[in-house]
Amino acid sequence: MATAHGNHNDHKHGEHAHAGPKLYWIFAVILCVITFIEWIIFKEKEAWGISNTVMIWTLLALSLVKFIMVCGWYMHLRFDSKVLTNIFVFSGLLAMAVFLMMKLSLPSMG
Amino acid sequence: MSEAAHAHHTTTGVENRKFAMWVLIASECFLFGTLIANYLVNKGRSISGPTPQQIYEIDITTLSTFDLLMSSVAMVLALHYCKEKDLRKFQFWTFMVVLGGVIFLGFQYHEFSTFVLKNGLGLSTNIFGSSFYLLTGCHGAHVTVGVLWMTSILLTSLIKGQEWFNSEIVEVAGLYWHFVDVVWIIIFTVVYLFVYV
Repeated sequence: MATAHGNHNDHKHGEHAHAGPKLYWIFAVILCVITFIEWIIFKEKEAWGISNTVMIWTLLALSLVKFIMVCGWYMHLRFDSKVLTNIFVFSGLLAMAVFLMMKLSLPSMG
Repeated sequence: MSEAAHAHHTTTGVENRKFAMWVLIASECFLFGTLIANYLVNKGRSISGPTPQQIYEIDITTLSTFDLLMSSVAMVLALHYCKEKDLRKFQFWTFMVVLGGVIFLGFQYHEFSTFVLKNGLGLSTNIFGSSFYLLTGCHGAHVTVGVLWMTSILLTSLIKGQEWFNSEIVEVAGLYWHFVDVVWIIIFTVVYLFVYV
């Protein structure tokens, strides 16, 4: 539950979050650049001698950055009540648990 | 109805519609988490082709990813101008969201029709086809709902003009749209870019 202090901070942060479209465009450029890098890595993997393991972790890290940017700023989670962040993170962790259970129960999975 | 009339206190400190949307998003996380896990489990278990390596067109999928990311930017700008009560800019960016969604669906139609007609991959051809169409088709259905939702908001604002400004409704629709974008960020990496893994 939000406290009076928390609401004050939320409001303050909220103002910051809606400072203007400039921030959103900067994020848009960053998102596009990251997607371009992902595509380049996929295309040039063999030419650059990148192993599967390195590629997997690099692409996962890049997509995690995009995920955080969209959720944190475009969806305003960074500036909204922590209750919403907790709901989202909890459901995301449960979804990952489903994936891990399937992976463990089917060892031959890629 | 003015926005002031909508404002009210809740036990969570979050507006009820917004809270409900986040609960929906949480349930959608389970849905897509399960569908992605199902795809990853089954993509390499097909007895007969075609396989993902033979048919994916990563260049086109990358373009559709750019498109969806740009529609997310349009969405956040539409919300910004809704809060600023700038009707023209709000309507323009809402239209761009709808356009971005329609273009994405066009890319998906192209992909599905190529897979079916050129590569012979139907829903029941093999287990890869079943899990792929289930996942991406479900995502496409969500994009379609988002397009219809944003179209209804755009039409309402066109009909009612300056009288209609409800940033809470636009914000809730925006949350849904961004979530659809976030799901695609994961699908693009895990389903398409990990094709040779």
